[in-house]
Amino acid sequence: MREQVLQKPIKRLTLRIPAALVAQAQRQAGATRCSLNRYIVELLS
Amino acid sequence: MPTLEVTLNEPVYVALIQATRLSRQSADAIVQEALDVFFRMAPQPAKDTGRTPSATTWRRAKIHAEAEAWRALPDTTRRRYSGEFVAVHEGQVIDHDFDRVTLHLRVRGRLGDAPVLITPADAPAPREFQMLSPHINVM
Repeated sequence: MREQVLQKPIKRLTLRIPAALVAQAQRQAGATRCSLNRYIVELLS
Repeated sequence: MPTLEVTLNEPVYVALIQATRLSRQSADAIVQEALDVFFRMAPQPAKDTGRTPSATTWRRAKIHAEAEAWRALPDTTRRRYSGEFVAVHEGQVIDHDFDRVTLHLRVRGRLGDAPVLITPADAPAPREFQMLSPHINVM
């Protein structure tokens, strides 16, 4: 039987966020050892 | 304003788009608000905890912000709802009822699982009920 690999669909979104907020999120993400993207995903989940 | 490209899994993307429809705000504004509210609640980076912010954290922060808005209302306004439960969303009393469950169901029907504070109007100390909803698994 042929195996199928199911990929989770992903969406790319471009957001306009104030620089100060991005910098703060980057610091926080760094402190929690995760990427900024993952940090935002977790925040929104 | 700088742009930031994020890659979201389907459930998070769908939840974000639903939130834009419900609140009539852009995705930019919702993400900004989420970051803003979260940082107001936890201004210091959580060092070496290895934990990322969770849905619960953000929702709790939103509920606290609504509780602050409710407590900031003048006594005369709050007394108008004496004996009832009030629902507070985006800093506004959006509904009220003598029965908490009736109010909860009505608000949920209107706003889905958006974080809304439901509290007795006469509560002497801050007393909060958080709307619970199924969590979405992230990738």
